[in-house]
Amino acid sequence: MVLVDRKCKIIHHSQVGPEVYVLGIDAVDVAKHALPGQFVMIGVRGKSAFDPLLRRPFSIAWTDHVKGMIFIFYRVVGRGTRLLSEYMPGTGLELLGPLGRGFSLEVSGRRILVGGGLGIAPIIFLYKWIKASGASATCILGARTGDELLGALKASDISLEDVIITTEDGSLGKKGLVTGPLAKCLDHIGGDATIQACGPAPMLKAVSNLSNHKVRLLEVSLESYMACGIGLCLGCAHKKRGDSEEYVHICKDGPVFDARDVVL
Amino acid sequence: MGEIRELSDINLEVSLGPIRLKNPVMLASGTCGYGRELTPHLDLNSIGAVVVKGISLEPRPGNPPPRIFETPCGLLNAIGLENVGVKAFLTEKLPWLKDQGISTVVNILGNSVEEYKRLCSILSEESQSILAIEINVSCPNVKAGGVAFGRTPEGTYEVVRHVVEVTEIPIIVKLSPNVTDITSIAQAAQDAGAHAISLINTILAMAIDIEKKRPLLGNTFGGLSGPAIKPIALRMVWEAHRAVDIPVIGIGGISTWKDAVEFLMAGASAIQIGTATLVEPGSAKKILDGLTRFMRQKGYREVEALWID
Repeated sequence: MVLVDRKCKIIHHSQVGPEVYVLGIDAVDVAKHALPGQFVMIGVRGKSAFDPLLRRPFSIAWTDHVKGMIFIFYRVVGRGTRLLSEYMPGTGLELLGPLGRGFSLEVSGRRILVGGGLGIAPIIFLYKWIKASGASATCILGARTGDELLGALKASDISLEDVIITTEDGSLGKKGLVTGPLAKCLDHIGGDATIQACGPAPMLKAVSNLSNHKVRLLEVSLESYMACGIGLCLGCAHKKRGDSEEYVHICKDGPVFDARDVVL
Repeated sequence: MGEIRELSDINLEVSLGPIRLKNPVMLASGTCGYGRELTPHLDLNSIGAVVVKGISLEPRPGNPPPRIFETPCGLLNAIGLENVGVKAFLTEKLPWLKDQGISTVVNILGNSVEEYKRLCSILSEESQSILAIEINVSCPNVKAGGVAFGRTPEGTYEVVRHVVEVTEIPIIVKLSPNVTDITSIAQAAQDAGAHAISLINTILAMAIDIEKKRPLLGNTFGGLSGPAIKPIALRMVWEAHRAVDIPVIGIGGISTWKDAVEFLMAGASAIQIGTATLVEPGSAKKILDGLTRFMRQKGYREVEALWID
C-alpha cells in the first residue's frame, strides 16, 4: 500500500462551470496506486497557518499515468474550496492519499455507472478504468447544467457519445435527472447487474429505490465532513442499516459501500 | 565557534511520578485511534506515549452525525466516546501495542464510580503492558458520561480515590476546562492520590446551521479543540501547575514546537498532541524534533528546566 503525505504541485487548474473547477496535481505515486472510488485529503491553508484548519476530502476524478498526475473535480461551497479555487498552477498543496476503499473492480454481468453533480468524479475514474481494462459499462452522468459536465468530460477525455447525459435545465443531453435513463436501463436487464453510484444523498436514495431487487449489487460512494480521513477521529460516522444503533466510518470503511449495509 | 553553543547531552526523559517517558511528547486520546491507525505516518516508538481512544466497560456506538464541524482555527466534535469496549480492547488492540513495545496509556470513562473501578481492575491484569491509566472525568459529549464527576472537586475526588485503591497502575486524571476554578479540581485530584493530571479536555461549545435552523452537531453540544483554545489551555496549565505538586501534562491546541515550548514553560512536564495529528498525522514527530532543537540551541539540559519559576 502506498500512502503519500507531502506537498504536491498544482499543474492544471481550470474553471469548467459556474463555481466548478478541475484541478490537476503532480503526484506520480498517488496516480500510480489510486483506485476508482478512493479519495485524497488536501490542505487548503494558505499563508495563514491554521485557518482553515482541516484538510478537505476530494474524490479522485481520474489519474494520468503518463504525466503522473491526479485530477479532482470540485465546486466552491465554502471557505476552503474558495481558497483552493484561487490557487495558481505551481502552488504546492498538502496531499494525503490515496485513501479509503473504492468500488469493486471485478463484477460479473452488466454494469451501470451513475454519477450526479460532483459525484461524477469517482464515476469518471471508474468508467475510464473499466474502458482501459477492455470491459464495458453503461455510464449515466447528470448535472444541473451542461457547462460543468462538458468541462469535466473534455478534461477527462471522455467522448460525449459514450455516456448518457442528463441535465436539470436541459442544456445538454436529456432534460431531467439520472433516474430517468436508469429506470429505462433497468427495464431491459436481468438480475445479474451491478450499479455503482456516487452523487447527492437524494440521488443515491432514488437509485436505491429504483434498483431494489432488480440488480445483484448496488455500490454507493458516500460523503461526509471529515477531520483526519484515516480513521483516527471517528468523525465521519454514517448509520448502518438495521435496528441497532451502529455506525460505519466513511473514511476507513468506505467511502464506497454495499447499499444494503448503510442507511440511504 | 559559532554564536550559539549547542548542547549535545540534553535529557528528554521525564518522570511523571512513577510514569517514565522517553520524551515529553504524547498523543492525546481520541486523536490517534488505538495507535495502529497511525503507523504509516508516525513511528510510535519515537514519542513519549500513546493515549488510546477512551475505553468503557461496554462498547459504545457514539453519537449520531454530524459529529464534527470546523470553526475558525478550531474543530468542534461530538463523537460520543465511540469505542470497542474494554474486552475487545484487551483482545484486539492491546496485544499489538504490547508487541511493538509502545508506551501505552489507556484512557477510560464510566458512568459511575463502580464502572471506573471495574475498568481499572480489569486493566490491572495487563499492568505489564500499560504505562498508566488516564481517567476521563471531563468529556462533555455524552449526557450520562463523565461530566458530573469532573465538574466538581468532590466528584473528582470520589472517582480518583476509588480507582487508586484498586490498581497498581499509575493514574493520570484528565481535567475538564468547563469549570469555575481549575485549581480546586486539580487539588482534589492530587488529594485523592492521582499521580499526575492532564489538561485541558475540549471546551464545551456549539454551532448552528442557519439554513436548517437547528444545531449543527447531531448531539447539539460538542467539544472545541485546536489552535483556537490554546491560550485558554495554557492559562489553565499555568494555574494548575502552581496549585499542585504532582506533574501536569499540558493539552490544548498544540500544533507547533513553539506551542509545546509554551506549555512546558507554563509548568507542564509533558504535553499531548491532539487535533494537530488529525490535521497532519506526523505532527508529533515534527513537534518533538523542533522542541529538541530549541532545547539544544538555548542550552536547556532537561525538560523541566523550561519551567518559568
